[in-house]
Amino acid sequence: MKRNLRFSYAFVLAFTATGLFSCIQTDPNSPGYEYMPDMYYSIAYRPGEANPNYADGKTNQPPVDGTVAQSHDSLGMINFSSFPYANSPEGREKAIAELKNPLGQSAYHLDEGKRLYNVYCIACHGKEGKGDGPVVKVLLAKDNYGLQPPAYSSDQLKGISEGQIFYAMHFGKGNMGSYASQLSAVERWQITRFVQTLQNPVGGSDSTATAADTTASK
Amino acid sequence: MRNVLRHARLVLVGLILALPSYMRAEVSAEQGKQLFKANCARCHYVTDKRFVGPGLAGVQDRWSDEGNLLAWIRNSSDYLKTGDSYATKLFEEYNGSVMPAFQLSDDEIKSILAYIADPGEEAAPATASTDGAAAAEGGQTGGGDNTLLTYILIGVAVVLLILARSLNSVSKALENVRREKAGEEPIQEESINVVGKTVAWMAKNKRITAVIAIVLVGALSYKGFVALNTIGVYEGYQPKQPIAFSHKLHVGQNKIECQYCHSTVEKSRHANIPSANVCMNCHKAVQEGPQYGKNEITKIYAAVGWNPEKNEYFKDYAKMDKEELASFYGSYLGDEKAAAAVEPFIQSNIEWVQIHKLPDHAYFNHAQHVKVGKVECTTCHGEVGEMEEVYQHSPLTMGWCINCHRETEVQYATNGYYERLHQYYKEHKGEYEMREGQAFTVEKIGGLECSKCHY
Repeated sequence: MKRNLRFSYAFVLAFTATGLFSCIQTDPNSPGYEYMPDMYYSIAYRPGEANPNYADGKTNQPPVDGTVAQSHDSLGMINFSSFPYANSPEGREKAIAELKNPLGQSAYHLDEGKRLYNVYCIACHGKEGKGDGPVVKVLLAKDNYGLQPPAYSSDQLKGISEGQIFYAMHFGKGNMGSYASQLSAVERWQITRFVQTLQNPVGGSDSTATAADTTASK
Repeated sequence: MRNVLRHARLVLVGLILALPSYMRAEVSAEQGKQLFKANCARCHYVTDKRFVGPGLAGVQDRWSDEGNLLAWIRNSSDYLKTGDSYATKLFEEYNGSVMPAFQLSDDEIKSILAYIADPGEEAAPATASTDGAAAAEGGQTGGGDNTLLTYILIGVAVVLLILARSLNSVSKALENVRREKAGEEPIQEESINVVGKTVAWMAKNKRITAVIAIVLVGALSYKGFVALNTIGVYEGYQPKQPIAFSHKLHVGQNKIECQYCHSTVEKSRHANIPSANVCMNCHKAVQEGPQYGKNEITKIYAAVGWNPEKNEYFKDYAKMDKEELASFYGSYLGDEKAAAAVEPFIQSNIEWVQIHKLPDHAYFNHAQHVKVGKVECTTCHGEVGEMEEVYQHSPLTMGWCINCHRETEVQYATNGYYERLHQYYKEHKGEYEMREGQAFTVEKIGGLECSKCHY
């Protein structure tokens, strides 16, 4: 009996000792131990890493002015640095009058436009372009109208040209920022194609309905 | 009779006094509020705070002629052609942008103006409750203080121990001095030979010693094995980020797509951290969050040079005086602690901490997985929409990669990328391993080749 007791003491002692070893707290700000760090880190700077060699401390540097991106603008289309219209009322008028969608009428571009719209525009403009996206709904509940766009089918927007839609994506409009850094020219034209289908919905819904009407009815 | 007359006079005076407001009631402020929200609120506040356009408080005082104001509101581009000096000044001040034309009647515009003149309480710019944030922050700092307290207590305990020991030895020495003077024997140091005693005990209790030794060795080698397996595996890594950005709020609640911010996943090997201009797409208008109020969002403003009081970017931000800016953002926040947290962001970059990181000798391409492979973000990154702070969900070990390549079927049918390859397999049926009915996994197209990822 006594011996059994002593054995159990021994077990308790041993387990306490191992428990103490595993009690070493891990710091959430440290990823842990590394095996052969030499093979983990390249000598070259990784994208997004801080870089003391540039005045602004960034590894990601914008391309030199006039650079034409080859990969995404393979259709020979305008990109950000060589957009020929200025960010001014005159440039806007000119763009609205002259800018034409260089993409063909293929269904592929429309589908791509819809897919991209559902990523980049839906948050504010809503699924059907009525200006009732999820972000707008959250803000309206707090009486913040800052991001509520007008519906594409409203009187204000249903008549605007493809050039004007593209121009708005390129430079931004009102509280909408420029999307030129997130979307290539081709992608913006694809979205333009899709937005045009929302200006005059095929379903023949009430085209005079404004964004406010749709949100008020909810 | 006199009384009646007096009452009548009172009523009359009351009527005359009330008349303007009755006339206004025809152009109802209530209707104006609805119209304002539908047409104006996207660009104007009813306060004097600037938004996309100027703040509208006191707009009627700024325009001497109401007719001109109505014409300006109805169609500002047309009105500009009259060459009105104030309109031209506004046009230039707002970088040559005009209001869209509105099809509103005079009464409707007057209603809006009536609403602007007396917007009531609820028109104050939306402010989210910051109580929760304060409580949350209080909790956090409390935690920090606790660890500090523990260290202090441990330190005090150590100091006291040392003090006790030295006092003890001092008293012993004094006693010895006394005994020496008195001609007595000095105190013998008790020899506490721990090692010798333990060895003696172990020799006496061999069985118990054996059990302890076996358990210790077994447990420690298991622990060691587990510990070795976590070397280079950062699963669960959750570093503190410079800005308390909540994916739960942005993705889970606001339903913003992952690619809205991480827009290069489709085009590039890397999933980018969005530049601050993407933050500003929304945060020009959203200046307060539900959890931390202004505190965290102002860090973005300090980095990009946004003036949240005037709602415009500072001109020549990089050349501005840092201390002046610090006091500006400090007074905007009205909280010393928050101001101190914002200060390092002024005129600098936001240095996010990278969580998911493959070693340099392993190649991974986001575009290939997202665009071609059509792998969902959550497959590897977990339910980010439920994470307040993001942590590494997957182990990102080679075994984990290989396993997925063995199991995942290539979606060749809906994917133009593999069209030719699939055609080739069909034509050479029999010559290759691929058979109809056999799963067409990533492994089958070379997903296990060493040089796919290591070269």
